[in-house]
Amino acid sequence: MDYSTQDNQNAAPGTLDAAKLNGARKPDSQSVTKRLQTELMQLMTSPAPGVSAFPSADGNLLTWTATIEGPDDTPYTGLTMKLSFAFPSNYPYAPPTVLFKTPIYHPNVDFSGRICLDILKDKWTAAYNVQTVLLSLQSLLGEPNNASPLNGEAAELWDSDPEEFKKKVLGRHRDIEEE
Amino acid sequence: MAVTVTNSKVHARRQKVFRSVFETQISQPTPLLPATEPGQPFGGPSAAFLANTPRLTHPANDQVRWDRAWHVVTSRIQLPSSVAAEDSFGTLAPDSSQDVDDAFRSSLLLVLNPASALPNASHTEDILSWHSQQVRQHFVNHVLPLLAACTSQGDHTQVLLTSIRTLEAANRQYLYGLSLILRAFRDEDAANAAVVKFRRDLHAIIGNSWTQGLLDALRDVFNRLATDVLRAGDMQASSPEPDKEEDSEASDSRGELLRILESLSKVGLAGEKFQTLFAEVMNSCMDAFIQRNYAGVWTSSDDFGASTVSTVFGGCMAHLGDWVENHYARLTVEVFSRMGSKIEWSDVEMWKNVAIGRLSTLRIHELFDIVLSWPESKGGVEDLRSAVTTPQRRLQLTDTFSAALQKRLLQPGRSTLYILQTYISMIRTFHALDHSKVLLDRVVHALQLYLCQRDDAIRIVVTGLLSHPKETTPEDSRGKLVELAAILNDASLQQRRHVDDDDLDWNDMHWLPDPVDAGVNYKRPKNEDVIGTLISALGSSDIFIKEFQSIIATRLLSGQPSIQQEVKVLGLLKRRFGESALQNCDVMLRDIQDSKRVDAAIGKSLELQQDQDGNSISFHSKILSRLFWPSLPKEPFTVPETVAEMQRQYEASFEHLKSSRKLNWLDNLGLATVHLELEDRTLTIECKTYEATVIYAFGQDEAAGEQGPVKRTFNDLWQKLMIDEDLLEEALAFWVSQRVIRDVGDQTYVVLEKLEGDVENAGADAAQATGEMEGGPPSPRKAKGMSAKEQEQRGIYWQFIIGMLTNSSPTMPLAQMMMMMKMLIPDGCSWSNEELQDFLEEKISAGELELVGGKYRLPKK
Repeated sequence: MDYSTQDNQNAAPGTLDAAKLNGARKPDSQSVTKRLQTELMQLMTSPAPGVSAFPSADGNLLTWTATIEGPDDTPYTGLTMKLSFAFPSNYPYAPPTVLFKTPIYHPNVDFSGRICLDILKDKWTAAYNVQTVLLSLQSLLGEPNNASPLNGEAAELWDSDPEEFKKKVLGRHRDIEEE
Repeated sequence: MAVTVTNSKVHARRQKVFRSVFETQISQPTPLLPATEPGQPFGGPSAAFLANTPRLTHPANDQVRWDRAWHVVTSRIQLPSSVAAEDSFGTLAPDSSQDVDDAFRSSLLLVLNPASALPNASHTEDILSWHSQQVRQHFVNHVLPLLAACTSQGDHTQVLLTSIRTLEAANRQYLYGLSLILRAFRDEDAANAAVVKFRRDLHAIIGNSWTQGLLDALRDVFNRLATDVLRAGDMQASSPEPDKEEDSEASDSRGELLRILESLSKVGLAGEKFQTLFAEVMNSCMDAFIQRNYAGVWTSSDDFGASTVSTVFGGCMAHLGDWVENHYARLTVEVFSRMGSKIEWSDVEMWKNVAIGRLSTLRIHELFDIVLSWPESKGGVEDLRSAVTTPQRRLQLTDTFSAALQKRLLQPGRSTLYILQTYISMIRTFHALDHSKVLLDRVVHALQLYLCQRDDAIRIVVTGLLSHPKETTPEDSRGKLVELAAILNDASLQQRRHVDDDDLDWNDMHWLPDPVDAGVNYKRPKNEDVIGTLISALGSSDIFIKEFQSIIATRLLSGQPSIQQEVKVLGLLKRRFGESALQNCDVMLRDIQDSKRVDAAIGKSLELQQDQDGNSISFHSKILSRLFWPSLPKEPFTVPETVAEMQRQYEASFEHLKSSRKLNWLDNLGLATVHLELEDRTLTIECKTYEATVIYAFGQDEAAGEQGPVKRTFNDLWQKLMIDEDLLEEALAFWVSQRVIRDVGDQTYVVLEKLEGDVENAGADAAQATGEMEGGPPSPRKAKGMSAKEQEQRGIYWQFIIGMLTNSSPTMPLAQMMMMMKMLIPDGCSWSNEELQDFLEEKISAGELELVGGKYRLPKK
């Protein structure tokens, strides 16, 4: 399973070009690389439970794959979700583009995996990093923001029928390794 | 014997060759008689007969008369053939009576002028060429063997003298014959011409007659004499007192040398071969002089004081120039004037240059030792500085020094400390040698590469910086780079260059162009900057600062009473690296200062409670801001209940004092004072917290009423305290060495309640324990021989591999994993393929990894 090709299809074209260039022409590409390396190191030395992330297999530091384990006491318990991170060339001054690769049934995630989370949009600051984003997403799984849903049905079910919600979650979930 | 036999054989052969070239079958003293008148007496130098036959005018008579005259003359000047004694030619043929002389004279006239006196003699010869032929033959037949005999003598002077005497005698003999002939010359010029011609011939013969023995003898004698003469210029001789004595000795030698030289030139031995030999002798004399006087002499120039002539060159250079001018050139000039040639002043200058070149070569080869004995060797560096001016010499210097460096310093036998000390000396020496630092840059590369292999290099430098320059005793300073602390504290060396773009500083009157052999990105340094150079050699300043941080961390936590030294060093380093780079260290220092205050405040509030509880442990803490400290190893274990209680109280009051902050205990990093009451003694020991915890575990069960001393096994303790095996083992070893507990085998330890009965045993135990501390015994549980750092690294790498296999790609071959790790780990992956493979094998056997089809993957849950 090669994730990098999938990344190409899903990520915004501009960011990907920047990612591909990755070379010395960008004056700050050095600092992006350095920052990402540091973040990676941080993830490795002090891993948070239930989340992990790593650059893609082609060694391009600007695209990462992450894994979130569904937190206990949520409909997602026992499930493993894959995500893709694409970092812009001016990271960390702009947020990374984060998508769910694993099909997920969630009020704030649409069917192509796009996520509605304020810190990935206008609330982004350079103080966030991959780990904080992953932890926010993990908590989003247990506490969706039903005020601004991308998946209206899911938002409704979450409140009205948890049983049905859980069923939908399990129905939609597929481990992408199996594909 | 065999030698002489071959020698004579060689001689015979040489003579054969000689004869084949030159006409040696000269006419005999008595020439052939073409026609003899019957009745005419013939033969024998009958003067009377000759005198009585002047009237014969017949052509045949002319011939006869000429023959007779020839006979008379030749037999008179014929050289004696006996060579029995060396002075056989020394005695001239005794002057015979007057009438013989007269007869000889008249005959000579006839022989010399056959055309006018005896017009009819058809067969005449030139007496002069006959004489030189005869001389040649005589020389070959008689003198050469004599010379060969001379050389077989042992003593070289003797060889030389007898050879010269022999030649002189031969010379006399030959010239005597010539002078007899010349008596008949009326024309002065012709006579002189004849003498010159004869002399030239003779010298040609003699000049080609050098034997090896004679050459050796001459070289030896000249070497000795020249050395004696030139010794007058030695360094010690420049002191005024023994001048007279040595001078007379030198002048004796000089006299002898010149005497020999004169006689040599008289006998014709001062030819080309001699000149070559003399040049060789002088050459080796110069070498010997330089070696003798300057090897290992590095006194600085002021020691010579006013005795030096020129001040252009410092140190030995001045002395050497002086010596070449006043001793070396003098001798040469004298020798050459004896041989009739002149020495130009430019030649002397050239010799000076040659001598300086030799001295600098010597210094270049000594440079490593000069570096080692810096700063006593300043003079040597001065010499070099004035001599090493051309790029070639600079190259020679760096090449030689690099080779010496490789051979003598950069090897496993040298301690890092020693290498660093040498490096500091190198920085200083090379700075004195060449302010531009180009030379140092060229030699230092190998050293820097090598230092990167030494893990402890940075540590040593940092501890050196932190050591106190004044307080350190010699024993202390042995293991430290105290020099660094001294430099760091020396205010005069702390001046930072204020103008970075010094190319733009138009008012800089000391500006110099960059050296020709400077590399790219070259920047002329302003001062020797030992610390800066040293740190840059150790890699980037980041690494240095990181190491500084971790060392300062251990020092701050070590419980030393004052942190003044750290504050001072930090201030000095800040000037070097800038404020922001050392911000973390700043915070660390402030933490320590703050925690003193906080600790005091909390302590006060705790005291009140303690008074109520009746608990009397004094408990202090250092509160560290986790983000700014280097990651400290956290090895949790179960602390004794009283301490844990204390911690809880402390924590509570801390959180009360500083809301929204939380304390995390690093149990293993503390210090404790343990008070032990044993049956026969009480001990108060300052130790680490984990050591205290371990010994506390020995005391707990006494209430249970066990008989005899308390006994604990390794596994008991390990399970009970939940402590890391390494720490536990260390702690046990510590108490064994303190003779509080004893290893009774089978990983069981017993409290040593009474000391006396156990003295020998305990001694052995103590020795064993210390041995163990160093060697690291095999642990029952864990693979040992792995440092904590390596453990940590393995942990991080394993996280990497997990992250990689979870996210990047579920299965990966070894090579790709290696590549990813190399690329993504900021400091690079220090493992080789094999090491990674071994590590993965371990994980596979632990069930944490699977290998399927050459690719690794995580096992399915």
